[in-house]
Amino acid sequence: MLLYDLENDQDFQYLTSRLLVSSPASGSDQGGLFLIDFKTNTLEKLYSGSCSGMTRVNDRLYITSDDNQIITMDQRFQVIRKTNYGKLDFHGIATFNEHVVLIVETATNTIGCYETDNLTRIGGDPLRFFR
Amino acid sequence: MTFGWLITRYMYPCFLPMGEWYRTPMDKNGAILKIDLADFQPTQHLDIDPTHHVIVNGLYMPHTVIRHNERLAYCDSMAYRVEIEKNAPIQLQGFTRGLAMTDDTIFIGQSRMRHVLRIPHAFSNCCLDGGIHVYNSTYRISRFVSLPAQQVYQILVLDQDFSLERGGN
Repeated sequence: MLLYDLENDQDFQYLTSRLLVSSPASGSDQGGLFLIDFKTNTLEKLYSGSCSGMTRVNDRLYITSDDNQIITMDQRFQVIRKTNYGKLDFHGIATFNEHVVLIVETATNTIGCYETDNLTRIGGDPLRFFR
Repeated sequence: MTFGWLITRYMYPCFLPMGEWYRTPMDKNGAILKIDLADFQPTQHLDIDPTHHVIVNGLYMPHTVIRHNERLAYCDSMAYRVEIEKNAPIQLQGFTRGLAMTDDTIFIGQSRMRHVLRIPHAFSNCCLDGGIHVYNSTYRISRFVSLPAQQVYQILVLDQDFSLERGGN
């Protein structure tokens, strides 16, 4: 899919970035993961399904989903694992170190710690917000 | 309600009041917090009072806190804006969420507002197209790349070393 002739736009033809864009599901739109490549002027849908936060740890991409999943992809954007959890309403995800990712659990106003190896949630509520 | 980002030793959660915040969509009571995790261990428990960690407040609905070249940047989504420290706001026409920066370009996600009745009265229009604004701050010009999706959550600029080879072995 062409990106509106940006490669011939005198003000934007310098672009060579490649972007990953996550999209949550909404109504009839199932959401997904998109790759925009300004160098090749292409847009590709890599995955269908609700996607929220993303973080990279070494050669893995971890994606949270607001339907309570963590999706693990390899460098070819192939899904190598989907892990389901209870109702936590995952939003953002960030790398704490190469062994642990932090995930925002909006349903409980907590931030959970998950091991990257097996995506087990560590401890109780490591970071809990209160008012 | 929280959304979090971690940048080096600091976590920057975005915060809205808990409860039925959407009943008062005109209130600018969103905030960005800064929490030092230098000594944090994943096995420990840490209770956080958001009011002790606010670094920016008075926001409509903040998302996507990033740092680029030592400047803090974030989306003030319901104000249809991106704020970059020490710069004038980038004003757009729709709900902003998802932000990435390179040295010459700013990529800003735009999503369809799920509930049009919550559109702020301060604006005469809200663009409902989902996609990415490609913004050049030097010349203050932009293009818009539509996506076949209504919502954008996050944008990552891929490193050169992250493979894009697909298929085969």
